[in-house]
Amino acid sequence: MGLLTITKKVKSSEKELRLLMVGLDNAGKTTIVKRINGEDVSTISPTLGFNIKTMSFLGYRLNIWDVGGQKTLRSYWRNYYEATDGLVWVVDSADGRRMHDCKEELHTLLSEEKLAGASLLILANKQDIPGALSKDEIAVVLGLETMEKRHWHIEGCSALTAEGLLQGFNWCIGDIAARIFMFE
Amino acid sequence: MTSKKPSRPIREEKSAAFRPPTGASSREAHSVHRIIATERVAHGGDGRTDAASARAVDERRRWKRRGRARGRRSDERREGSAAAAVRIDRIRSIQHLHRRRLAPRGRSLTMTPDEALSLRAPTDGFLCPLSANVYGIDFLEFEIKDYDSGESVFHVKKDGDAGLPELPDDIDPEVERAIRTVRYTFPEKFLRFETVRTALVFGVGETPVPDFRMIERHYFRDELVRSYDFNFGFCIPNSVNSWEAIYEVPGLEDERIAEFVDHPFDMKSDSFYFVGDELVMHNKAEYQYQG
Repeated sequence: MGLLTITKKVKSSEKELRLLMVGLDNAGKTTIVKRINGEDVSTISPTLGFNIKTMSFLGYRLNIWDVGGQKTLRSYWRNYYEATDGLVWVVDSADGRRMHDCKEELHTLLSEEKLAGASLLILANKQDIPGALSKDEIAVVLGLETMEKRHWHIEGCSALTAEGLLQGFNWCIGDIAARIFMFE
Repeated sequence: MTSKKPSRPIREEKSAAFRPPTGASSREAHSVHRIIATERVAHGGDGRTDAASARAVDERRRWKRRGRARGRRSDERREGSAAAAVRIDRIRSIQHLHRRRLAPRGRSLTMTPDEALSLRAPTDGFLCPLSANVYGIDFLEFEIKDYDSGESVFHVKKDGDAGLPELPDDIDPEVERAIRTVRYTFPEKFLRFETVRTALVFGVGETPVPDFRMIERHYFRDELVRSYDFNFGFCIPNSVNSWEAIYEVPGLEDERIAEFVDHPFDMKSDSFYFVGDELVMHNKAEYQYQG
């Protein structure tokens, strides 16, 4: 599977979209970014900065900023909010112990003014692991239903099997596109 | 030769944070190109006819290749007529494009991103010293692959402990050129790839980097063939970061490919790295393609 294969024919005047991928450390952000282009995901080490991926998707020039999730790095996340069209929050669905931290960090992020207009995609990753919380359970734990105004969507996925990834990103790009189209 | 108008469309890779250069219109771009060409002729020409000047430019290039350009050029400047000097002054006042200017404290003022984006030929030298890299930006890995086959055509990875080169600013220009210019040899089929994937890994030092931006200009025989402009934005102190770009390459005609193959290292590029408006790194590359 490769996102690019779907959109081989893109115009040079394609629009730029910026996605910011964040979440707690070890949630699988980098693995997801690698997986959507069919790369080897067997040796991923913790991100100690950012990984940017630039590619074409659905006729857009997509810039995905995957920023490390370790506690010491989280205070730097705010440097990446500017001009973000879509926020991708990645959750380790098998890490029930840190689900509360996950919720806290997410809501702190969502209170940021610069991210007020960004579409929110929650990727409930690691669905391949037995005992992982389902996407509906995670939606409840993270308190997603209480959000007003925010465009959001949750998708269960597995970066290992690639299940759910394309659906998730499709929703996110589609939602941003609809918003941009509306304002033009 | 240098004043030939670019005959091919230029593909610009722009980032989300792209700001249009001040001299972006084609007419202006063309005039900038001519200014550069004129400056070259003015240096070597000394009021000779255009044909003679062009020959002088060619001759100068040959000298350059032998690594004696600097001494010779200064001789010419010393002997140059007043008219030529006036012309040079006027040209410089129009566009300070590729001369290093020294600030009072001896720090180089170099160029802005907008100026880099209006360049239409490789610069003569390096527009900032190696010591300008005060943020300790260090390139650790670079790879170029064919997206479709996954085949790697170039891969270099730095030894983790190698660190940054420490060189004095008054280094011999030829030694500096050798150190700061990378020569690439690519297989000819690289020119036929439809989709290219490049991956860059770099580290930064202890200081946060507020607004990191790369501008890269590629030329074939002084004709701009490709331009990249990418804004990395903020870099976390002591971070290791990567940028992977997957982009489609416009198809090249067989004739054009043959031209590139037949003129090794006539494909050249300047890579400029800015933090904000300040040029912190400038490297050059030359490319050849082999069947």
